[in-house]
Amino acid sequence: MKRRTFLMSGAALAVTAPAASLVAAEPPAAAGVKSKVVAVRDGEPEALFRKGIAELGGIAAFVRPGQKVVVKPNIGWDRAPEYGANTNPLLVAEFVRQCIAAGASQVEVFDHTCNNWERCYRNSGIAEAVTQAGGKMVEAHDRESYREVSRPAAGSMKTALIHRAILDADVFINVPILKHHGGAKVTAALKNFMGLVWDRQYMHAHNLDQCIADAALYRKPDLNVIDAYRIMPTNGPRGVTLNDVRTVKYQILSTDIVAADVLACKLLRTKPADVRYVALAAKHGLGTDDESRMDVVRLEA
Amino acid sequence: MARSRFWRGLRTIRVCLAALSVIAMTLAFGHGADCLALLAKANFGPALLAVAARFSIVGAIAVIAILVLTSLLGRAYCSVVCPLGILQDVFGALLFWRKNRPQPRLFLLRKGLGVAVWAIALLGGWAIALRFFDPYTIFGSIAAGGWLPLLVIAALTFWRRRLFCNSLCPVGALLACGSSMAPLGFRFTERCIKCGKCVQVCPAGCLDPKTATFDNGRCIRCLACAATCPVDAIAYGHNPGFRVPGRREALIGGSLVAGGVAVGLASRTVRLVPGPNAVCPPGAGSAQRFFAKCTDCRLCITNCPTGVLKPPGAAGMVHLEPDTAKCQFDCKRCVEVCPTGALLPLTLAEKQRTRLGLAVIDTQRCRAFNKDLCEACAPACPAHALHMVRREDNSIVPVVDAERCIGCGACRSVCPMEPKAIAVVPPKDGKQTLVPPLPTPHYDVICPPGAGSPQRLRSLCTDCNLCVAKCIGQVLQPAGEVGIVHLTFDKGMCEYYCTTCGEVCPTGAISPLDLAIKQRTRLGLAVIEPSICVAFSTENACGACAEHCPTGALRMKPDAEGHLVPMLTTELCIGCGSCEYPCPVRPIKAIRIHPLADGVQVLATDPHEYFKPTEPTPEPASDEWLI
Repeated sequence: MKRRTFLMSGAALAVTAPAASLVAAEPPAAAGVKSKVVAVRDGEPEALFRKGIAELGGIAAFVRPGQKVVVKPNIGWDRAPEYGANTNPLLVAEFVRQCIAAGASQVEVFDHTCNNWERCYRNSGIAEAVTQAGGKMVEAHDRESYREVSRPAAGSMKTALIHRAILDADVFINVPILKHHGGAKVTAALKNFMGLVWDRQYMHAHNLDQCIADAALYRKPDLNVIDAYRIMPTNGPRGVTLNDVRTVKYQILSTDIVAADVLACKLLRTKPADVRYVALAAKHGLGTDDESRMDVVRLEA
Repeated sequence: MARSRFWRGLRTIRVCLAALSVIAMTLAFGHGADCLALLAKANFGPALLAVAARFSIVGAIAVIAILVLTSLLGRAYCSVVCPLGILQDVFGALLFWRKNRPQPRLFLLRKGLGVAVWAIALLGGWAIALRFFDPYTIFGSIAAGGWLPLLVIAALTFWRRRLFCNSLCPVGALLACGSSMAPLGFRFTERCIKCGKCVQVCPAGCLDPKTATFDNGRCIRCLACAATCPVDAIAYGHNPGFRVPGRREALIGGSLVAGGVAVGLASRTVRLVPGPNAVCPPGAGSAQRFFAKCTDCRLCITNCPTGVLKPPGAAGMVHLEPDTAKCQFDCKRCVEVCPTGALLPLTLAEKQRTRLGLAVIDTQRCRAFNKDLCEACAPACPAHALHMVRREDNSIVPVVDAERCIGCGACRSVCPMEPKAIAVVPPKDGKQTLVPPLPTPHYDVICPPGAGSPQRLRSLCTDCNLCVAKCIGQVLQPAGEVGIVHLTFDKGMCEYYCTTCGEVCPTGAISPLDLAIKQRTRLGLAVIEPSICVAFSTENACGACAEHCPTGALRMKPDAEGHLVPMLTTELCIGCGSCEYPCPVRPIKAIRIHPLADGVQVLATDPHEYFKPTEPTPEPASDEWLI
């Protein structure tokens, strides 16, 4: 990151900080400190996660006893797990188990789905996996579950209805799946924020890339885990046939949402510079899109 | 001279005709051939009532023919056509062992009774008296299985043979006037030896050889006397009663007519109210009218194919009791057979719109209202008046559209509860009215997968709305003004993995499809309007439509300037609305599903074929890190 860019992002942060206290609570990428990104490969989703979280200091570094945890996977589509349209249920369940083992008072899981929510929850396998692991599936199809929040620093979406589970939780963990996206080119950690927002159509209509970057302002995730066990390089984000799915068995973990997405773009063979919302999110000070400022740890599970 | 062969032969013919007549009429009351029921219209009583009730042409012809024939041949009607008269002859034949068969006496008030009955029926509009005195009606109630009238008639016959015909029967009284004053009639000739054999065989008690008098008014032309006479002393010729009535006769006749008019007019003012819970058959007009006009001959009851019509009982008139049976939607048999005009003629289209009553659901007992799964009634409704509706607590319950309900009881007949949870109540004022016709269907609509075409859907669908209530994507809409259950994409999209509508459809209007077929069934075609599309008009690659498209028909592709815009591969599009629903452009969406040009649902290209990889295989995984 050039000095000027850094100063600019610092200035943006200074503007954002008073309004977005949650974002400002833990300023990312302080001078001289690199964003740590852990990439793990060659293993089942649970094994990948155990290896990766150990590198980040274990789940205890993120979840303290008695805290309320919300896990936000991608459950957007009424599709079976092997189509790679939703986050792997094994990973979500492992997460819930570890959070509960770490003493979390409750673990809530939800997504504002694109298809019928009951079918998505059921057919993605996530509802069953989470319930068995001791977590709680939260409904998100009802406007009553959302509260209005404003972020004046946002470029386009200055107010939004955000799901109350996100606003009320002590710990927010973002667990997206890596897919191609027709409009935004890549969907990973930042794009997963569309599932917190009630009015997705507003985001589509009012500069989608800017709105994706803006959405991340509403609540900083404590940890991002990008499920890249199965990825969808074509026909995303829904996928048409199993030909759209590649099983590469990767996982990317980071507290820096922008850095995690930059690596995710590379995994999908897309230039991060082509994905406009990554740069816009970096501009908001949500993380770094400069690979030289990342500390990438590569591990085999 | 021996017994006349001529009269014996004629009598045999008379008996054969009478036998045919009574058999045909009995069959008419027992689901015989359809045309037999029309014979009932040839009976004098019902025919005269039908003329009075609705100026029936058939009735008028029958009345005039019977009157003309009576003036020529006497009361042959009573021995050849009238089923009750023939039945009495049958009973009379059972008395063959008695040498001195009983003779009927003349009931002095018979003329007054006849005049009163007809005056009340024709002037007063009350056919109630004919329920008890009309011979055809009495025969009907016997043929329909009534034991009491059978026993009464049998007892009367055994006691005094054709006493009923000469003393009580209003038809007999009327025809007797014509017969007694007709120019032709029977009389005794000088050959009579006063042996008295004719008196023994005469069932009507109309002759007296001692005084050589022959009452042609009472004679029913059974021909027994002439056929029995050993000396052929009974001749047919000039009727001694054919003359100008004397002063006394004219006075009696005049006062009878005047009294009849007075009684008839007085009965007009009577207001009898029928039973409160009677649902009348179609064509009744109103409960009051039907109560007054129906003689309860039960021809409709025995001809009703479903058995929903029941005898009066406590209700006081013939009525519908849809417990296990219903009033068949495409049937108007009761209207067709009714000989008295109590049921007014209706076309089938009118009958299908005639409101007999209103279905009322007892929500305390209905299973659907008590969290139980039951959807029996709504698909049974032929009038498109019973819909399944999803309530706020997600239970799906039947709701009656009072505007459309015709009260046929189809819903009640299939209700599995005991006692039934749906009642059919008569219209509030008892009047039968027409429900509005079904709206003319708009055939340019998007139909649910498996409907085939809007025309097919319309012809099979009963608007039970079960599919609408259970639609996962909330896209199915009730017929409403459009006239056909159809899809709109305001609240959702036709879910790609869902086949619910075909599975729940009870009528087969929406065929159940295999998921793989359903996912390729084209309901409509997406059409993009670039002038309002966000992606076409700005640099924002909105992508909402392409993101949702399940078949890959819509993809975001770079245009000439390199901006990502939605592009449609028509052969893949199934018109599921996954693009229209999420489109953020308002108020009119930039991408909309248009109905198919010919409405016929066809299979779109299989995406598995379309997206079949053309390159050999993806490169093998290398050990090098991809990131």
